[in-house]
Amino acid sequence: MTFLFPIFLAGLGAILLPWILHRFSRETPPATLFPSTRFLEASRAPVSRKKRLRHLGLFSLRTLFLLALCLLFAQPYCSTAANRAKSQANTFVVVDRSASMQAGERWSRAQSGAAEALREGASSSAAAAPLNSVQLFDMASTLTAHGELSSDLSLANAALRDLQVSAEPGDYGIMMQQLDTLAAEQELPVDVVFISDAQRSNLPLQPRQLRTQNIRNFAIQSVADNETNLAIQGNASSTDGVNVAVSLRLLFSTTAEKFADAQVADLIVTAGERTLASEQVTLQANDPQAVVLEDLILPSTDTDFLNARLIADSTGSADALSIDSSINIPVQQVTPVVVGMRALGTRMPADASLFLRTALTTDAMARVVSASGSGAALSNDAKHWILFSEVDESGDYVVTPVVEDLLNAGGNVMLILQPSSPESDEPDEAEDYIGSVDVAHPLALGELDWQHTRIYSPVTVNLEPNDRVLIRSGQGLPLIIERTRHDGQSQGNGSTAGRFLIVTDPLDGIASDLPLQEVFVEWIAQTIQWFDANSAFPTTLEVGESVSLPANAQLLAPDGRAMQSLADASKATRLLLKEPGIYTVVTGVSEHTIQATVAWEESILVAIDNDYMAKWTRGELSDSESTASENMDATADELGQRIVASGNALETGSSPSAAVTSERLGRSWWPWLLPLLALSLLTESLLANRRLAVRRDGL
Amino acid sequence: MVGPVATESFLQPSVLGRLGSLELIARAVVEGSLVGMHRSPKFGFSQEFAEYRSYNEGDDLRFVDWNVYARTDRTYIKRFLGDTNTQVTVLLDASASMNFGDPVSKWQLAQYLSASLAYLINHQHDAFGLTIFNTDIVSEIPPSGSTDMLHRVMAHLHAATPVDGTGLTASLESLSYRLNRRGMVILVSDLYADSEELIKALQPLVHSGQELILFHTLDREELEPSHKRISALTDLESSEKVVVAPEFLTGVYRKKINDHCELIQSTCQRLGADYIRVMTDEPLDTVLHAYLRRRETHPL
Repeated sequence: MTFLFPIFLAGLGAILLPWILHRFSRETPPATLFPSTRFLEASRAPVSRKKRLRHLGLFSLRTLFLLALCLLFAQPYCSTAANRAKSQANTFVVVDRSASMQAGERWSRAQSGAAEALREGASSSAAAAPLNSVQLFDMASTLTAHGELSSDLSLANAALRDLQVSAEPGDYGIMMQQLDTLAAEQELPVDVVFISDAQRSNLPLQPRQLRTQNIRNFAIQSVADNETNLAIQGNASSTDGVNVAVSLRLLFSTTAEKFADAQVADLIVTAGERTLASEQVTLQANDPQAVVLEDLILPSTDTDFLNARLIADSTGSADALSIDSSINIPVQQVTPVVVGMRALGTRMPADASLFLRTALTTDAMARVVSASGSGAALSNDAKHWILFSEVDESGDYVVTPVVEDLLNAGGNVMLILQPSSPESDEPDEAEDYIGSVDVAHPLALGELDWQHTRIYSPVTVNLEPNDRVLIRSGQGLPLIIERTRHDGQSQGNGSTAGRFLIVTDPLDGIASDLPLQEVFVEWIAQTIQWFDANSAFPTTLEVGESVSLPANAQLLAPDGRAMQSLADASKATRLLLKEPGIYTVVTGVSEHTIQATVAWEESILVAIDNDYMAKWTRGELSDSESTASENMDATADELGQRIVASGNALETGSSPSAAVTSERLGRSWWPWLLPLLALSLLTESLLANRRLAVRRDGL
Repeated sequence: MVGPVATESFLQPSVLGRLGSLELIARAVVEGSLVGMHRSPKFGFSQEFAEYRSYNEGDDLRFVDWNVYARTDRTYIKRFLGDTNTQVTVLLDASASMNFGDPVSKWQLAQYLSASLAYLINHQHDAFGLTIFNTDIVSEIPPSGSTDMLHRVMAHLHAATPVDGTGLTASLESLSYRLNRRGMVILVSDLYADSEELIKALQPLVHSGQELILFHTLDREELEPSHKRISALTDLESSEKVVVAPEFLTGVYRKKINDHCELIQSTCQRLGADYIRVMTDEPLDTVLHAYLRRRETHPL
């Protein structure tokens, strides 16, 4: 029997408390009225220290109560073999298909091991008994079944032959929970054979995720050998399109955590045919190293990404996993956003335009282009526009057909409403403040500090049914409104229609002090980022992660093929990235590149040591066990100790065919403790009432 | 001769407690006793002739009718009706220790007993007086044969509350100075006093010609404490707290209190006084009935 949270067993020390109470407590005699003490002589009050434990029954109950309480928290878990039926069982054979299985001969060993496991699983121990059923699974990002449970191996073997190793990461915790769920649905006991490279980096952060309730036998066949791996990840950025800064993360990983020799490798960065940088790096085993290459000159070629690769020195270890030793890095262009500014049917308000221009050019966030005139078409250079429009007495404002066209084309507009009559320099209305902010809106205005902003005289505007008020004043007046178009299209629904914000504050510094507040620049920056459609996509993802695509957007795979049909592209969707490389998101207004890299944990080949693996198979892991992430952050001393352990494990048991098997029976005891706890508490209460003359008359 | 009275017909203390009115209790107790005896205990000390009876050995020679002896050469005892001039004084202990007992307290029992005696004595037209004391005399009704005496006695009994300590010796001494007529003194108390001093206080009363009757009220718990664990016993009078072991209560204490009771009883015998132990769990009419039967030869 083991415990899920053995730390709570420390609470057993509390048993000392009743023991002390029962052993050393001085009995306080109950006071009783008596007619006369004339014939009484005082007796010495006995101290129980001189005696044995008193009220043994009560003491036992209290001890039992504390014991049950501690066990309830510790959650005892019986993993001993029981007299369960062993002759017949279903066998799940799970093959690890994660990226690290590409290293060396791991995959071929895994396939042959799986074939053997299928055969053994189908064969029955009793001669007269029918054959057992087996089912093949593969494990990468998710657990995938191949065929049905059957004693016929032909389908499973065929599926096994067709299986290809993926570039996706694996997660043993998710796999175990999914297997447990599947096993719970089976009538017969389920044995699992897991064929894997047993990467420590694939372990879940919480080891209890590896525990299962419904799997009878769990065996791991490790196919890891003494492989080594060189891995590289990084990103590149350029502010001027010529000079590029490249940040790289390099790793030399070995199966054994302890690896005496450092690895010398050539780091080469190229753009097309041209080599931008080439240097030799020395990497210590399992010790990631960061390299920054600055001021690389981007050649004037058509390519918009760099290639960085690590090539092992011929005198060192071979790179067994090539998928992560070369990456294409898109160069992120850091360029200011072009924002147009124009007044519609009125003069450009000098103060408001100054405030906005200042805010927009802060940190070179945007470049402002102005347009004048009332009827001219808006410039095509800008996708985002700040427009000024007067509002008449009835609350209506002028929107030219050009603006409509701009919105329909996917442009974004922030309309600053101006009063029809000039405001006096002094505010003539009562001071107001920001009353409510729509925190659920993607613009994330709730993250900004609006509390110092004071509102005096915002412009009154007529709201339309589909308007979403993002900010209201304390008196309920709308200050920032997102207006959905009349045709029912909106950005949230995946339409190409641009985003349309209406601001009822003229931003002249008189109607409110918003332009003078710090929050003004943050608000404008956030609005421009929200306007910029490209910001909706990440620049870097790992294989196995998904990218969310809006409607009418297409994702192009690294080889240039579209990843969804036209029909599917009309709807917002999520697509899983299964291969590393440069993906391109194409929308109606822009293109965006996403760099997909092999998950970093797949590059770390350090194997799980044998002790841990044995506990895993026996179902004896608790949360106090060290985890993969802890191992990677360990101090040098701790690392050294584990290095020895792991090294021994490799010498003794981590041969390609090494297998750790244990019979396990998941049976939790702790649910039985709750009624026991309640019963002992009840009895203790009754007994204490009787034995200790506890009065409960409620007075 | 008085026949035996069925035990079931006696009034249990708990039943008396529910009656509520002392008059009713007294009437229930006394009349029950009288009915049970089939004979009025009116024989007393008056000069009114009642009957002749053959002389028995031990009879007082003063009551032998010598005229009849001269004529018949036989000795007869001449008996008289009760003497209304006899005065009976009940001395009632109202110390805090009397407020103990179950199912009725010793104080309640003493109230019932005093009321019953008052009723009985009033019934035979004797003078009755009541003195209630604790550390000193609390209230006093001088002996009187008036018709409203019974109501006054009841009122005093109602009003009294058992508090403070026991000044038994001082109260008896004070009383002995006030009683200038021969009569009867009935002491109702739990007698928690020093035995020697108590005897010294009783002697002057007896020597002054008073007939003394001691009703010693006790609760079973006083004689045989049932504490099974070590207990802190608090004195009802002094609030003194004494921690005693159950072994002491079952051994030494019982011997001490029994010795105390026996000493008082033997002293009473020596002084010619009657000693009656009244337990709170015994039917009062049983006790009274038994005592009146015993006093047949020496009526009240």
